[in-house]
Parts: sequence; structure tokens; C-alpha cells
Amino acid sequence: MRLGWRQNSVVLIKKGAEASLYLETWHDRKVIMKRRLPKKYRIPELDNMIRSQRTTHEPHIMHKAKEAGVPTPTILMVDVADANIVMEFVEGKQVKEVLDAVSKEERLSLCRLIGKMIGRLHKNGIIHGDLTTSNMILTPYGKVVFVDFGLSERSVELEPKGVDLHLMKRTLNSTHYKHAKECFKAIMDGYAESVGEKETKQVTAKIREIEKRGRYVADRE
Amino acid sequence: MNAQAVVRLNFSSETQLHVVLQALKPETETSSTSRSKVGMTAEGQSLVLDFSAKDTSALRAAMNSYLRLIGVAINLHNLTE
Amino acid sequence: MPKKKPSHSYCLGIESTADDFGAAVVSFDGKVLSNANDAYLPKEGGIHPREAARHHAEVSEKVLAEAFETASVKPREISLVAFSQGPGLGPCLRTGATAARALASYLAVPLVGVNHCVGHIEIGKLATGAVDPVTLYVSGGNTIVSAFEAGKYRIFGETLDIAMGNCLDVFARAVGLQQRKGAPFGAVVEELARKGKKFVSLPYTVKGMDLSFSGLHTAAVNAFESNKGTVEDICYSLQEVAFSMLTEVTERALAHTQKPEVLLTGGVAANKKLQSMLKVVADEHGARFCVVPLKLAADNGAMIAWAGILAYNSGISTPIEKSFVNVKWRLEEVYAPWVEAK
Repeated sequence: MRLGWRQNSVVLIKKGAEASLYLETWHDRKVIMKRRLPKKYRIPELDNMIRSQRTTHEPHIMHKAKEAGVPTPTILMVDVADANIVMEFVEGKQVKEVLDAVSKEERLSLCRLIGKMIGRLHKNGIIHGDLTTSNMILTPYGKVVFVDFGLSERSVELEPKGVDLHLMKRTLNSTHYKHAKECFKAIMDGYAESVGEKETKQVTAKIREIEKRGRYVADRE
Repeated sequence: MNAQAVVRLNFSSETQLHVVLQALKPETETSSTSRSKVGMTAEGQSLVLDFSAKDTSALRAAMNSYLRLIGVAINLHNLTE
Repeated sequence: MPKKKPSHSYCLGIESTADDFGAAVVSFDGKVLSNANDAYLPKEGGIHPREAARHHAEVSEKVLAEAFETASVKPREISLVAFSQGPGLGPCLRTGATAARALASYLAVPLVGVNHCVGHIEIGKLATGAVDPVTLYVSGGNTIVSAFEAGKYRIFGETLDIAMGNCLDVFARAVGLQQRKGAPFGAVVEELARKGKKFVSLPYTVKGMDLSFSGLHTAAVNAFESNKGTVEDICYSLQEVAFSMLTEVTERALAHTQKPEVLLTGGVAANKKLQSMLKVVADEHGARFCVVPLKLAADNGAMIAWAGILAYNSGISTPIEKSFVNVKWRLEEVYAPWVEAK
């Protein structure tokens, strides 16, 4: 979706549910402005709290991800009161668009790389919270840049890691169902490169447990 | 398995016996647990239920639920007449 | 593939996944001719599966008789029996399944097992005319955001622990609210919430597309017990937080799939506050907001009958000897060939 906004140099490039992304020129630089606009369905007390929490939290955790060796856009400015973040514009394509279009070999090596990066995040206590293929950008240089840390959290527990990867798996099953199986396997192979076989086994078991939970009124049965 | 019971139910019509047998058969194949087991066979005009359970309370629970389900199946016969 | 039955063919649907025993007659052209129901109301605490199953067995004949009588359709005129095969409480499902098998066998008509969640989605589509919606299905037992993609209803988000309705129920019981026939806990909380004025902060837990409610009701009960607000204030805050979570996840699915409609279905769909929040989001995305009518919102036989008709018309039936109940049958395991591919 490409909509004009205010003037030609400012373009709404993504109207997400959680935030909107605008492409802007800022001090002669192509930047992304991430704006958490007020949600009309939420009461202002709750809305302000959620927007300012996420605006403070996101740049912080993106910095931690960089330290862990996972590419994320560079933060240029944070405005908590207005819930705005200005960050570097990353040239490239969403993995969502690329994954089904490339050859099998490229697909699997891309997935292994993604898995390796997720492994680095988890190893450093970072749970992305929204691991979908829309939130990964493949650059022309073959790097995968992780974006949208708006729902991320810090944890070293097995459960959130399992939930994180479970979402990744579900995204593959719903959006890339043709190649879901091989892609997820490659992701877990890459993951093991970062965290080791033992931890990977535990996380894999956790994912299976989450799937099996069959969330139907567990406490009423 | 310590507690056992055999229940024989005599039916007036073979159709009804057949219906009850069909309606309950999938349950005997899936509902057995470590606490109880149920076998079900037709002998002439009778339905024979063979219960075996870990203890008497498990036996009672199994018998209750089966006899209740059989009741459901039998009662619906009136509706279809 | 079975021939499409003419419109004067009827399907009997039996629903018994949890506390409701329902039976309904629906014509093959989608008219709900009757929708009888008898709910098990526990004297205290939550649903005891065995007690509920006993209730279902006791009322089954009466409810079925009522379904036929209201519809003015004789049992012999039925050409299909559909039943809720899962997910749900084992003893309850087995009671409905036994009744369905017996009827199909007496009447010598085909039997079809229906996924309960599919039933909620399909009856919502039938009643509102929605064709390809993002569906938020919220009830005492389930909380699922789904949309149809490539042959199946895919799950885009769901609860990681307890269901939305269950969260409201547990909270309501813990703070001493009473439910009545016709006014379940959800309705009681909604009533009180309208009088709430002060917002009390409660944990807002959205993880990607998934939700968690187990910390929420605990925090709400604690807030009440430590006098952070009146019971009205807590009900108000609980609804604001929980429904904002549901709306956020639904909006995410909508933004992701770009579907033209948002459908709200399940028992909690009756809540006006939740309806208004989802409508805001649907409007913003240019999607039509659809909500299942009140009489088809909670668990009911009509949704099972209708989903059964759809399945049967696309060649699906369930042999009696293989009609085992499936207490953990997930929505995305169901192949749904009757849905038009987009």
C-alpha cells in the first residue's frame, strides 16, 4: 500500500496494526519514521501507556540485538511523548515476498541464516515476539535485517523461546504453506548453529508441547 | 484389574439392539483408560457388556457412563417411531 | 460425491461440547427451522465434565423432540445427522455423539462429524452474509483469530493459556458475582463495566499474534481484593484491557491478510463493548464488520447442522464406526473444500 501523506517526500509505506511506517527524508537521509498512532478503540489511559512503553522499549532492545550480532535498523531519534521513532531505511525486500520465489537452495540457505539470527537473539535473552516473514528484510548484500521489535521482551526462559519459534512456524504454515516444512527445518538447523544441539532439542520439545497443548480449556478438563 | 462386572441387557427388537451396538461401539474402542475397560458384544437378542476396572469406584463410574449412554440411544427410538 | 439435496432436505445438528446440549433442524438451503437448547448450570464452580454429561443425557430426548416439533419436521424427514465431534469435554462430546449415531442408525441416514470451531465460523457467515472474513471466535472454551487460506481455516492468533470467556468466568466467580439463566458471567461483567469510571492498570499481554489471559484475571482479582477500585471499575478495566488485546490481534490479522470482512462469533460475541471496538478497526481498514446474531452466538445445534450440510454437500461424511470424538481437534486440521477459493 502506497499512500501520499502531507507531501510527496513523506509516504506511508505500511499501515500495520501496531504502528504505521512512513518513508521520509530527514537531514538528507532516507529514513523510516515509525509512528504509534493512538488507537481509537482503546481508552486514552491504556493507549498512552501501551504506546509510550513500546516506544521506549523498542530502540533499547534493538540495540541489544545489534550487540548480539543481529542486524537491526540504526535508531536516529526517539520521541516518547509522541510515540515516534526515526530509524535508518533498510534497502531490500521482505522475506515474505522472497521466500516462495527463490530456488530451493537459496530458500534453505536463507532459512538457515534466519535461524542462526534467531538463535543469536535467544542466546542473548531477546525474544522478538513477532517472528513473521514480514518482519525480516533481505538486503542486496545477503544480510537479513530484523525489524519491528515492538512486541519483544527480555527472557532466558524456554517457554517464550518456544512461543517465539512457534509463531515463526505458524507463519510459515499459514503464509508459506508450500515450503513450510523444509523451511522450518532449515531454520532450526541454523538455530542450532547459534545455541547448540542440546538447547535446540529442548526448544524443539517445547514447541511441540505448545502445539499439543490444544488450548481448549486446559484447566477445565 | 480387580473389579469386574458383566451386564446383560435383553432387547425386544433386534433393530434396537443393532442401533445401540452401533452407537456405542466407537466409545468402547476409544474410552478405555488405565482405570477401566469395556467389552461389548451381541448375543442373540442381548447386549453383553463386560466391565473390568482398577477398583470398585472406577467400575461404578464406567458402568454409570455406559448405561447412561445406552439409555440415550434407547430413548431416541421412541422419537423415530 | 453425494448429489446436492434439494432445499426441502433437512439436517439435524447436535451440539454438546461443553455446558450446552443443543439440537436444531436446518434446511439444506440454509434456513434455521429450530434451535433447541438446554444448558447445564453448575450450582457452584466451573463445569464438571461428568456432571455436564449427565445433564446432557437427561435432557437429550426432550431437546431433540423440541427441535423436531418447533421445526414441524418429522424425524423420518431428516436426511442427514451432524454432530459436534470436537474440540471439547470428552464425556459431553460422547453423549452428543452417541445420540447422533443412534439417530443416524435408526433413520438410516448419513452421519457427519463437525468441528465445533468451524460450526461457529460457518453459522456466522450464513447469518451475516460474510464471504471471506477474518474471524474472531471468542467463547468460554476458545479464543481464535482465523482466516481461510488454501483449503483450511488457518489460525493467525490464539490464546496461549485460557480462553477469553473463561478468564471472565474465573474472575467473576472469584469476586463473588452470580450468573443467572439468560445472563451468564460475561453479561454480568458487561453490565457492571458500564458503571465503571476509574481505569485500574492490568497486565496487557500480546505476544506476536497470540494472547495470554491467565495473568489478567489473577491481577484483576488482586486489584479488587486490595481495593484499587470498585467491582464496577475492575470489570470496566478488565474488559478494556482484554478486549483491546483481542482487537489488536484481530487488526494484525486483518492488516496481514487484507480480508474484506471481520466476523465476530462465539458466546462472547454478544458483548456490545467488544463489538464496538472491532467495528472501529474494521472501519479503519475498509472492511465490513459482521457479528453473529445473539441467538446463534453461544454454542448451538444450528451451527453444527449448517456446517454438516456444507461438509456433506462437498462429499464429506463420517462412517458411524469411525465417528470417534476428538477432544483436541484443532481448527486448522479441518480440510474445508466447501469454502470458495479466492
